[in-house]
Amino acid sequence: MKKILLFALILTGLASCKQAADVPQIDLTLSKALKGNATLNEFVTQAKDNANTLARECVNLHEMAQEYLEVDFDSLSTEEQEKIVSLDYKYVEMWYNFNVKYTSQTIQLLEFLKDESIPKEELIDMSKAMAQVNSFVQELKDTYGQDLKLDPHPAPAQ
Amino acid sequence: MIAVSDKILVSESILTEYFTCDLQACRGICCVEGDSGAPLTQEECTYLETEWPRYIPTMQNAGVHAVEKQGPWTLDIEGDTVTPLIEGKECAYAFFRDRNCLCAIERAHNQGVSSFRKPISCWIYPIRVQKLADGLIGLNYHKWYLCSTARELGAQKKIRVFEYLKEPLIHCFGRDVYQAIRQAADNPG
Repeated sequence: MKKILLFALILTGLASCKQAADVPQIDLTLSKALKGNATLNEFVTQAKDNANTLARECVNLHEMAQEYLEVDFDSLSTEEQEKIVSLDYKYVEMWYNFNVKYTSQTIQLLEFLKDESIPKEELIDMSKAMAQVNSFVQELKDTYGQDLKLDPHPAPAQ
Repeated sequence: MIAVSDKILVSESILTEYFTCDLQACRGICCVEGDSGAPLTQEECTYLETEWPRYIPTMQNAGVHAVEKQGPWTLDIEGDTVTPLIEGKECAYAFFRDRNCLCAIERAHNQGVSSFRKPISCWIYPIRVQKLADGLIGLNYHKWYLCSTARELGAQKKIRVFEYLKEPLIHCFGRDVYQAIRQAADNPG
């Protein structure tokens, strides 16, 4: 039993490694000055983690959506149409949830930028790190879009 | 030139020609084209030295590198203080959104993180301020071929150069000077 279990674990590990390699991820090297400021360090790290989570979700949902991208929605069965609508909803929900986080992150960033007590060096390093995160998010938006448009008859927003 | 105060002379074309920026047509090309960066006053150079880190989240990476390499302001070949450029092209503080070239300094000001709105030379363009002898100041109209769409839109809307620049003119020279310019424009001869 032990041997089989170990084999199964190795297989699972490889499978997840392969998947992880396909997902774009941002890796920030924090400067010494930034590491020394716990608040800014946590803020930047959180922003990076949120962006990486979004990237994973984008890739997963995009893979799930591949088979539906070219189909004729109206010729599908009700069951299949429901699957597509549900997937479309998940996609919109994913971006909505991220945008909520992103907005509060932007407001916090503006507060830091206004804070004159933060040393210039830390402010520069934090700003540079956030610029990288923002540019990574923009690339995700450009690549994966904010709407798959799988459902040709979306219900109007309530 | 027409004297609108004991210190300020205004070129006639500022009173008569039409102008309204047409960003949809020009896409902010004035921040990209040109021989050197935007002219800066000494006071603006000091502002940029303290404020520029607040613009970084909006700036292009290449713009940040340009400022780190050249400083938040630099000297052009004529020895005037100007904004740095990215490899001789756009202003280091420029960024692009939906193919439009915009200003990271102004963006930070609009977001409330910087008290510095933007260099006066950019804000008051197409007027160029020239220091003359005996403490006189000349306001000249810089007629650039890149701004032909602004001249067309201005003519369409019947907005003259000084009217388009009412806010920066009042900011720089005061309401009395603006009123004097308006009076001179409305009562030619």
